[in-house]
Amino acid sequence: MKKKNRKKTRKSQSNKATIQPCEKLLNNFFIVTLDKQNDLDQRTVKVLKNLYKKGQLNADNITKTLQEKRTKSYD
Amino acid sequence: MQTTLQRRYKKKGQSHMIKESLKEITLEGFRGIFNKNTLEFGNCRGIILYGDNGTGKTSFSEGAEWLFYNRIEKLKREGCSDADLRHLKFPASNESYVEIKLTDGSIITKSINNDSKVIIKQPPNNPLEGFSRDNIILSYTKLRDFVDQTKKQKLVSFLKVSGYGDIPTIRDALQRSLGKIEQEIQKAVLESQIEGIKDQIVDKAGSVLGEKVEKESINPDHSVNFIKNLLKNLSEKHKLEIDLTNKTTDIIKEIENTLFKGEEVKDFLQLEEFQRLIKNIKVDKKLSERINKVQTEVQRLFKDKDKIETLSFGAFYRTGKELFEKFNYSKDICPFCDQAIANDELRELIDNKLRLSSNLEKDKKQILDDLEVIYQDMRIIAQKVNSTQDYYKNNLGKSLTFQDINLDAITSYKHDIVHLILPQEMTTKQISNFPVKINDILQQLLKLYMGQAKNVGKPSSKINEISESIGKIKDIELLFSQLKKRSVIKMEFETQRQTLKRVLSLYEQFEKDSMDSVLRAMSNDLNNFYKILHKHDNHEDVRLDFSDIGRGITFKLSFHGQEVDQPIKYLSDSHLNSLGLCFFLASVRHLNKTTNLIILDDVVNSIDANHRRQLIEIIRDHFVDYQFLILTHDRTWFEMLIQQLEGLSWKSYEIMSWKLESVIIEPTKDKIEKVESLINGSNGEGVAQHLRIYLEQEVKRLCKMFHVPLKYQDNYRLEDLWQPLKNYLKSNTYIDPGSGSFKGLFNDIQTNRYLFNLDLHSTPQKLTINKGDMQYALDKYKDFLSLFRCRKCTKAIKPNKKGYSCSCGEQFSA
Repeated sequence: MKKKNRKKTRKSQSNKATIQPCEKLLNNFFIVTLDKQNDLDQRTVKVLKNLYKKGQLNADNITKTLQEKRTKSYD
Repeated sequence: MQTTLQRRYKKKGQSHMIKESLKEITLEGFRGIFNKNTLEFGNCRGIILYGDNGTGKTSFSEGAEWLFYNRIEKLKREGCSDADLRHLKFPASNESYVEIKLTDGSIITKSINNDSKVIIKQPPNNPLEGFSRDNIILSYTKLRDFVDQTKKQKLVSFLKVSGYGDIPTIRDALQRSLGKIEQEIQKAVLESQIEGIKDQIVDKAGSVLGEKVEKESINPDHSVNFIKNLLKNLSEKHKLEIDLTNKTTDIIKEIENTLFKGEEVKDFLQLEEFQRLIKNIKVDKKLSERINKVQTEVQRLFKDKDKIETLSFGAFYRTGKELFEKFNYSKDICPFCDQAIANDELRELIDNKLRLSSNLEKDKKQILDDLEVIYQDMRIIAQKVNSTQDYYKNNLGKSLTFQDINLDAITSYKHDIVHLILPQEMTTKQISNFPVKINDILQQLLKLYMGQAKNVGKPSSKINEISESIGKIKDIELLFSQLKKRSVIKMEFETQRQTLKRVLSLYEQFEKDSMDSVLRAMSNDLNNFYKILHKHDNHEDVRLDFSDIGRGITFKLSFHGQEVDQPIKYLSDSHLNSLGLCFFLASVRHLNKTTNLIILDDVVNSIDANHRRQLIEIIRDHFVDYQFLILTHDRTWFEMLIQQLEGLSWKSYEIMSWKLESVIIEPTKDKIEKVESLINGSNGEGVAQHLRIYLEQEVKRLCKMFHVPLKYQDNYRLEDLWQPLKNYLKSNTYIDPGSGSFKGLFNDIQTNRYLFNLDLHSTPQKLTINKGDMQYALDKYKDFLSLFRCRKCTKAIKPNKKGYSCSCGEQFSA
């Protein structure tokens, strides 16, 4: 029987996946977690997502953009 | 945040890249190192550098600190400056520098000249940026930093080293925006406005119907049916023929056209409509109060030039602060005016200015918000006044002087405030006369109405009644449109508030989960390392805990079975130091992304010999892929490291001599070379002492490697190990017990007083030994070593699954 040519790999404790990078976690929250929620107003979620993608997610920008959305909806 | 996140987007996947190692590090004219000195890592796993106190070894860790983090922590205090980075006597014409060569061949150099001008030369991919994010250096003075911090400080430090700082920043943004939207909802007083409008509708509809109307029946979505019901009731009461399938406005027009045909009636109705329009114009007393309040606030904010200047320079201070942080500015010179000023004082000054301008900006924003509300009220009033005047002119009056109400004054006022024009320089300031002007116009319109009313006769009571009802129905239509608008605003507010609240709650859970998973991973290592260091202590489950979102991180452990959340209460100083060391090592394992370099500067000062041995075990077995630079002034620790790490590709250097203008650093001599130099110096005591220590170390290593069965003891000395090793070798290894070299050698060593004499080992005596005896003892030691070295390459033989082998491939069968 032919011996399987097993590639020898050194077990390295430092290479094991441990902590996910912050941006990966945040992307996952804003792209995956929020998309799974059916009980959220999608327009508001879109505002948050867009600001996050642009790297402009802060309280002032959220408040301002939400106010613009409200004005649009009743004008 | 934008730059950080965007930068990280670009560098996605960096965590999977191979981590950088050093090929060598060189200093010249830097801190305590005058002449050029290089530590060459080559391909080795680490370097141990020994130097007595004050011989410049810490200059290497300081050099790395300056290169990677653009600072030296201990020089960040009053009276220190960048000039202190240079060696005291280094020629002014030369540049002091720190240089590292990476394993990929690239070179990074950072130099500082006599004018404190810093120049960095590095490859275009900017590797220093990655190094600066990693946690590389731990010195004795920093061991307890993390352990001694408050839980809030621990969280801040942790976020800094973990690169998770954006997570709480975003939570804060969500929390604050939720707070803001709740404030806006309160400010808009939508609920009471809606109730007020409903009350008015109830009142007017009740008067049209002649019966009480339930408030609950008022629904803006059913306004058409509600009004048609009123019209139906009116038509039934007065026997009017109307088509209820038409639009409500058409029905009203139809009633007016068919019933009010005569000129007199028409005049009367138009006059009634004019009166209705006038009544609709209301100037709330509060408007005047609000205008006065805003003007007072403007006066207060703009009363002195200083405040205006501080406000104008807000962006400047912010940028200044950002640049200070970015470049870690530590000079004692103001970068704006070149005046000498202590760095701490300068930082405090900028912080104060920034705080002041932020407060003023808040005040300014409040004024602009208030002005916006005033502007909206004025706009509605102006529209009503203009349309009432239009109505009069088109239907009743011929001699009206139309007074156009424009809002230029308030628009201009807002503009001046936005652009920080001083009150005395404002072009238009008069917005407070708006209510007065409106009241004047109202009086004129009322006068016009009164004048016309005298000449117009009243129509019949039936027509009058219908007319009144129609007027009320028109008002109700208007009220319904206001109600609809407010209901939509309220609904929008509510939807956004609910969504933000839900997103925030999801985010808090996400934050807790993320932090928990990081801390759990790190806690595993932390506990593991701590347990290795303190095998015999009853301390279990050492971990980091993130129980309260945003509040902080705490150390927890089980101390003799009791749960403890403040280790400082129960652990000794050395235990706390080792906790700090374990945290550092765990954080390096989990958080460092760019380099595998670890610099430990005198970290074992408070750790005893037994625990130091365990630390070597951690370094050796748990950091296989890491590169170390260990600095020490402790000779025993230095030799223990060399002995325990022998054969594992480590290098050792010693600072042989330090003079202010000359430092000599050389690789440590091999043991044999060392004894030979002692023999040449006729140092009999030294030869005996060294040979015995080396022999004992070797015997201990062999017993451990071969797993020689031993009687349990706390400590083993040479005489405890010699016979068991000999017995074991006879029957279990590749060594032929019958060979003369084996038998004779063991006897020769055992009977040699310089190699095996117990008294000499523990209490050295004055010895007079001739060189021949010394050389004989050394030769026996060499022979002993050669039993366990490869014949071909002289490297150490190690046991493997098949038997014994050398790394060169040579096999030794049992």
